[in-house]
Amino acid sequence: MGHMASWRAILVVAAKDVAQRSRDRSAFIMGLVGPLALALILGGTLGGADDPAAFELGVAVEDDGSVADGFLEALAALEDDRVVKVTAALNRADLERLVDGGEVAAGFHIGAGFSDAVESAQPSTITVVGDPGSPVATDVAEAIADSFAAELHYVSLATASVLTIDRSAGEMDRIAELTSAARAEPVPIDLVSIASEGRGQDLSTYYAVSLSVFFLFFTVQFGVLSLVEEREGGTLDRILMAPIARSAVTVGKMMSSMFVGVLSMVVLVAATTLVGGAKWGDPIAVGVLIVVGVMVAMAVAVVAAAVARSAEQAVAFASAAALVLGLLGGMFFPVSRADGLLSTMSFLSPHRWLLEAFRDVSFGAGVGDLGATLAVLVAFTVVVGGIGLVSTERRLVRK
Amino acid sequence: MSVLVIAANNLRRLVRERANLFFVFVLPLALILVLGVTVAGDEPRIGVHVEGDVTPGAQQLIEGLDEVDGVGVELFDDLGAATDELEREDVTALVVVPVGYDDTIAAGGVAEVEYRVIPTSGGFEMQSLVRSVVADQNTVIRAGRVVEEQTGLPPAQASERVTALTEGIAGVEVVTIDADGDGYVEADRVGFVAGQQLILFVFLMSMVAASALIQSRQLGVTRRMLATPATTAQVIAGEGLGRFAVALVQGAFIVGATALLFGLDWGSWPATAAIIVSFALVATAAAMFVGALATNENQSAAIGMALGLALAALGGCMVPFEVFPGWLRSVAHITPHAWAVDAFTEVIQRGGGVGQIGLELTVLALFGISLLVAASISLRRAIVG
Repeated sequence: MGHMASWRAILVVAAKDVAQRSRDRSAFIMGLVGPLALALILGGTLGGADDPAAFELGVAVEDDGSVADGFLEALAALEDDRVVKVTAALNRADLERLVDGGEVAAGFHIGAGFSDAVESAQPSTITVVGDPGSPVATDVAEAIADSFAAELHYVSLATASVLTIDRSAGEMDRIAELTSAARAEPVPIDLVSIASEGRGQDLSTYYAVSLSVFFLFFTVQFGVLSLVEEREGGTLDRILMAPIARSAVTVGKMMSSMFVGVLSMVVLVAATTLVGGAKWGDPIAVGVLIVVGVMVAMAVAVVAAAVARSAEQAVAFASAAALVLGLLGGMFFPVSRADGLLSTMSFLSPHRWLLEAFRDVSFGAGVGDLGATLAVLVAFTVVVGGIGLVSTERRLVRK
Repeated sequence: MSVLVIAANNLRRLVRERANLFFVFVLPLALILVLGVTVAGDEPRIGVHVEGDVTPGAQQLIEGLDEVDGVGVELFDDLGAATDELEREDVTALVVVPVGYDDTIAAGGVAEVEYRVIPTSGGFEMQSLVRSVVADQNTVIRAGRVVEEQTGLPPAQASERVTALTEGIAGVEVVTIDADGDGYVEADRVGFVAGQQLILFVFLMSMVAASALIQSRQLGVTRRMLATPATTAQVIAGEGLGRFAVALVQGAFIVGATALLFGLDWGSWPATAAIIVSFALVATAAAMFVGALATNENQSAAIGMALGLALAALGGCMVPFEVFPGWLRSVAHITPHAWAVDAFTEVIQRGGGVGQIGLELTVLALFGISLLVAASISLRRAIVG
């Protein structure tokens, strides 16, 4: 059997698998529709930072003084910025009813006499009515009330400090003058919030990358698993009766998986970039990572096929492995934030390495910067895949 | 009777296959482990980088941050290293103090302190903590400036005056209460995340297991069962009952293990049990439906996986409803997941009992029953044609 013949055999096996796969709708669901739909739902709708959800807050003000008016003005400004959506309530009971009924997520109550108390430097209270079921909105409401209170505290402090020196004061005019001078004083330390735009991984990219990687581990299963199926169905015996090397069948199956895996990743990268606005980074580095990622995913599937005794079992093993590794690798939880055992364990998962590598690339890294990660992933592929392949091959003969 | 026989046979088949046991228990175990570590996770850390020398003013800012409870502060000499840690989410946020911070403030200018976050890490809570630290510092400096301007005192003395008064000024207190007028108790957020993940995984694992029904169909077992006096509904119920038991065990396993090992608070036990039972019913029925529709095992695994994750994403299992736009929150409630998430919100976060989640449980039961009916009809059609 010549070299050419064996290449042809490999290609025939691979082409047959790809053709078979192209007729199977599940290939499109797993390799394309699933990850794309999810990336768009998660990254597009939730990550669309152009118009984030405004927090729905209620406000009941039972005081007609100027300080309370100032609070309402501050809220109106936030509403104009679409940070919050304000609903007016009559009184505290009405506000509590709104929060309880879920019509607003949280709210503010300012009682009668509030402005007078503030102006005469008496203790006063802003009440935030929170819903433990909406902790984020409650945090937002508290933060708004806190910053308003901090400003009032500052004005009182500034005014009172001046008055300890400037005895001419005490008159209402002077206090009003000091108050407006204090308000006009610029803030010395300005906290500027920067969402590492342009450099950081935005939500669209994050979801596009992690979902593509997650589904890849399912997409590439078929070629490997069809080996088990053909063994079960007896077609493998028939193929092996032909003058073909056993390895030609295995390699052919691997190539078809590889082809479909790379193809689906390339289409996903293109689609999420065009439709979802994902930024994957340097195309060459992305390409290298795709090839390495497909090989790693195949190695996992090969091991599943090697351990399994039936096609059903092989599907179950491969899916379970893909889920567990995805879980440990940070698909569903930010494992990197957990120190210690889990963080260490997560590095056993190729998902973790792939996600970090893709993340680095989206931050602007090139192939050259990925040396260590690539080495780990290739080593994983060679060791895990090698063990899997050897035992699969052995099973093919033993039968 | 025939329902129980079919169910018993299915369970026997399931237990005999070691692969299934792995799937039924190892996956929840991995989930439990991850949840556990999340509970035990270290306090969030914030990175601080001071450009140039660490001046007294910058030092004061750092100390202010350090005094905040539940937040760790880590100083970075190198901005690159700090940015790396931020991008790896090792620190939740990075505070960058500009060159000449003290000089700018002393000269009456505005010092721009950067608060850097990456969009995926959220961290609103952290931002408001940092803001309040900055606000405290602003109050003293700013009041000092006013005193300087109004009285002509030199800066040091103006600042002394202000500092002396700081504690004595009656401030505005912000008090948070809940809708019943009681003190607001913030629920453990990890508990809620655990609820979200339980819903996601119980459903996903059921969907992946839908292949069993297809196998029975392909082997002709289902056809033969239908040849007996058993009705399609009975066959579906039988096939489903075993799967239902597995979903229940998985749910109970996740709740029990996280509660016992990591002290996770799942709220009212009867209510949590009711949610698990009704959602396991939905998950099983959905799996039966997909199993009856799909034409081969690969297909059902693909559909199951994609559907399981898409419904979970839309149903509020990955991102809390609070940050959904209003219209999307309504759309989300076409998924059973959203109702189960609502039920867990009521039980875990608001401390509600079975009485408070009647609506959610009813909707889940209706989802389950309609899916079972749909599964029976499709199975009948798939086999009888």
